[in-house]
Amino acid sequence: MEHYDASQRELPRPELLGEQTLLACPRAGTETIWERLPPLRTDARRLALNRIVTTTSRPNPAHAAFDIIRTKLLQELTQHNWTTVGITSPTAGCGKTVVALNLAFSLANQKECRTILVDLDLKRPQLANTLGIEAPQPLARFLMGEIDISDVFLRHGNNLAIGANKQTVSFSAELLQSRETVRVLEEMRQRMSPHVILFDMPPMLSNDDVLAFLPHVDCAILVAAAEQSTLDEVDVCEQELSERTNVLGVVLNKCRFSPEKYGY
Amino acid sequence: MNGADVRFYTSILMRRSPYLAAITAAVLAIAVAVAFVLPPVYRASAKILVEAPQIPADLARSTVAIQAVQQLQIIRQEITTRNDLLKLADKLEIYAPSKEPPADEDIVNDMRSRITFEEIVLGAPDGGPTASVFSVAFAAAEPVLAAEVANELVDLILFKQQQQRTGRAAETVQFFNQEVARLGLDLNLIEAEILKFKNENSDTLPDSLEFRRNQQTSRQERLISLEREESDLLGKRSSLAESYALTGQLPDGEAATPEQQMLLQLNRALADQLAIFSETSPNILALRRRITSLQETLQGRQAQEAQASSKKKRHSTFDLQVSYIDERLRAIARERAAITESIGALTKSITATPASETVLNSFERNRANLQTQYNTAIARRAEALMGEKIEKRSDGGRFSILERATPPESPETPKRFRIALMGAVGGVGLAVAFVALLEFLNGTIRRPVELASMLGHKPIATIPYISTAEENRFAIRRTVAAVLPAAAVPALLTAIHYLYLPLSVMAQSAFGWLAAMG
Repeated sequence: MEHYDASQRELPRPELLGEQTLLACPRAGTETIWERLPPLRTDARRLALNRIVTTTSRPNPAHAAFDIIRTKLLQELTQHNWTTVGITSPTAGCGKTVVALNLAFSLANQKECRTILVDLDLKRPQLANTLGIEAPQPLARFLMGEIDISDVFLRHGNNLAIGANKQTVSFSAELLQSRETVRVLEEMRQRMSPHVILFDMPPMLSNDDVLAFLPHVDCAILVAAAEQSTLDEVDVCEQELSERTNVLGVVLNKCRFSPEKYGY
Repeated sequence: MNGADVRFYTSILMRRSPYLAAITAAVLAIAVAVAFVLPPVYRASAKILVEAPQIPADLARSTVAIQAVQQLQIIRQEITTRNDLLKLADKLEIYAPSKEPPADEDIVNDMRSRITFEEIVLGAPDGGPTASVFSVAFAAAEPVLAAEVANELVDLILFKQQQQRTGRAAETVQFFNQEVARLGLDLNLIEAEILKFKNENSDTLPDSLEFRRNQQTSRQERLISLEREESDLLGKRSSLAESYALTGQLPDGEAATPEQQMLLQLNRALADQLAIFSETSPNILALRRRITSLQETLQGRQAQEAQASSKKKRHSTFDLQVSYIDERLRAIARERAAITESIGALTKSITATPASETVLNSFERNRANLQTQYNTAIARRAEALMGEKIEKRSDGGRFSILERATPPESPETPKRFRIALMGAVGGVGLAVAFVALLEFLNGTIRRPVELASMLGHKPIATIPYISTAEENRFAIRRTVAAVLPAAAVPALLTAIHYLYLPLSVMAQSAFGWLAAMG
C-alpha cells in the first residue's frame, strides 16, 4: 500500500521538474525518465495473434488468470518488499514471454503501479517479435552501460516500460552475471523506481543464464506448460529455484483442461 | 473418480479424437474390406435320423448289437479316410475350378475341415434312450456344390451303414454255420469211436452185466446139482459093487453072502475107526487084517464060483449097470469141466466191466458235451438267421434321411455385417488403447491437480490455453487432415475395387504371391 500511496502522490505533477534536477530529486527524475521513454506502438491484431489478452477488455478466461497472478504477485511483493521478479520455465516454448507480457499488461492496468519488463532471454529474444515491434537498440549495450534507459525502453501507457531486444548475445550468461549489468539494472531500478520489474528469462534447463542471474532477483515464477513440461522437470527447476531465490510459485500455462468452469 | 476426473478423461478423449477417428476409420475400413474380400462360403446340411430297432429287441434281436451313435462315429471315421475323400472330391469335381489341382494331402485336409458332423440332441423327457438326429454339413463356395456334397456324404453314410449291418449279420450267420458243421463232424467222430469201442468190448459192456451175473449164478447152481448127482452115482455104484462082492448077487435080485455082508460091516467100521484113531492103532490094524482075510476068502470062493458059473446071467446084468453108471459119470465130468470154464469166463468179463464202463462213460460225456454245444449252435444259428433277415429288411436300428441338403440361399460366412461391426468395435478399442498408451507414456503435466500433488501446494494460477483465431481455423483444418486419410483408406479401397481390380481377385493373387514367396 505504501507504494501505491507514493504513486498517487507523485504522479500528478510530472511536468514541473526539469531534466537537470533528475539526480538531485529522484522522484521528480523518475517522472521525467518515464515521460521521455518513446511510446510503444502495438497492433491489436498482432497482439491478439500472439496471445496477448490483457491489453483488451474482452472477456477471456486467460485474462482472469493473469489478473489473479498479478494480484497475488503484487500482494507477495508488497508483503516482502520485493521488486524484481524472474519469469522462467523448464524448457523453451512454455510461454514465458507470453506470460510475462500478459502479466506486464495486466499490471499496467493497475494505474498506480509502475512496471518494467526486460527481455533477458538474450540468446533467443522473443519479446519484440511477440509485440510486433522493432527494438530501438540492442539490450546488451544497455546492460554493458553503453546506452541510456530511454534508448532501450518503450513506454506503454504511463506505467509500463518494456525493454525489448532483437540482438542475440553469445556470452549471455557472462553478461548477465557481470558487475556492470548488475550495476546498470540497479541504477535503472533507482532511477525509474518501479514497483515491479519483470525479467523475461531464458529456460532453465537449456543453459546457465538463469542460474547466473538468479541471485539478482527477489523472487521467481516458474512457468510450466501443460502437456509439455513433465513433473520431473518442474520438480528439478523448482528445487533449483528455491535453492537460489524465493519461489513465488508455478504457473500452469496452456492448460486445455479447465477443472472448473466458472460462469462469468 | 469424481466429476472432474470424468470431465478430464472425456476432455482427453475429445482432444485425441482425431486419433480415435483415424484409427477407428482405418480399422473399420480394413474390416469392411476384409468382409467384402472374403469369399462367400455356403454350408448345406442334411439331417440323418438314427432310429431304434423297429422289431422289439425282446422278440427278435438283431445280431448287430452296436449302438447307432457308435456306429455313426465309426462311419464318420470311415468316410473321412483319405481314399474316400479323394474319391468324393474327384467324383463331384470339388477342386475342378482351381487352375492347378492341389496336392492330395491338401485336398484331404481341406475336405476334412469342410465336413462337419453334429449331433442334434433331442432331450428325452425322462432321460431314457432318445432318437438322435445328426446333421452332416459341407461348406463350399457354391451353394449347389455344397448341397451336392452333403447329399453325397449322406448317401455314403447310409450305404456304409447298410453294408456294415448286413455284413455283420451275414458274418454272424456264417460263423454259426461253421460252428454247427464243426460240431456235427466232431459228434460223428465220437459216435463212431463209441461204436467201435462197444464192438470191441461187447463182452464187458455194462449193459449185459446183469444178464451175465444171472448166467453165472445158474451155471453154479447147475454145477452143484451135477456134483450131487455124481456123488449119488458113485454111492450107487459102490453099493452095487459091494453087495455084488458080498453076495455075488445084485442087491435087487439075490441077497449077498454073509462074508460079503461082514466085509461091508468091517469096511464101515474101518471108516468109522479111521475118523477116531490113527492108521497104526491096534484096532485099525486088527480091522484091516480081518478085512484082508475076509476078502481073501471071498476072492477064493468067487474064483471057484467063477469057474463054476462063468456064463451066469446075473453077472452080465451087474456089468451092464456099472457100465451105465460109469458112462453117466463120465458125461457129468465133461459137463462140469465145460461149466467151470464158462464160469471162469463170466467172472473175468464181470471183473473187466467197470474198466470198460469208465472208458465208455468218458466217451459218453464227451458226446453229451458236444451234443449240448451242437444244440446251442443250432439255436444260435437260427437266431442269427433271423437277425440277418431283420438286417436285410433294414428293420434293425438304422439311419434314414430326415432331410436332404438343399442349396443354401445365403452364405454362412463371411458375416459381413458382423465382421464390419467387429472392425468398428475393434477400431474403437484399438484407438482408445492407443490413446491410453499415449497418455500412459506421456509424463507431462496435464492438469493443475497433478502439479499440486507434486509440489504440495496449488500453482499460483492456471492459465487456460489461449487460442487464436488462426489456431481455431487450424484446428478445424487439422481435424479435417486427420479424418481425410482415414476416409481416404475406404475410398481408395472402393476405387481399387471398382476401377482397377476387384478386391477378392486381388486378395487371391496376393495370397498366391505370398504362398509362392513362402
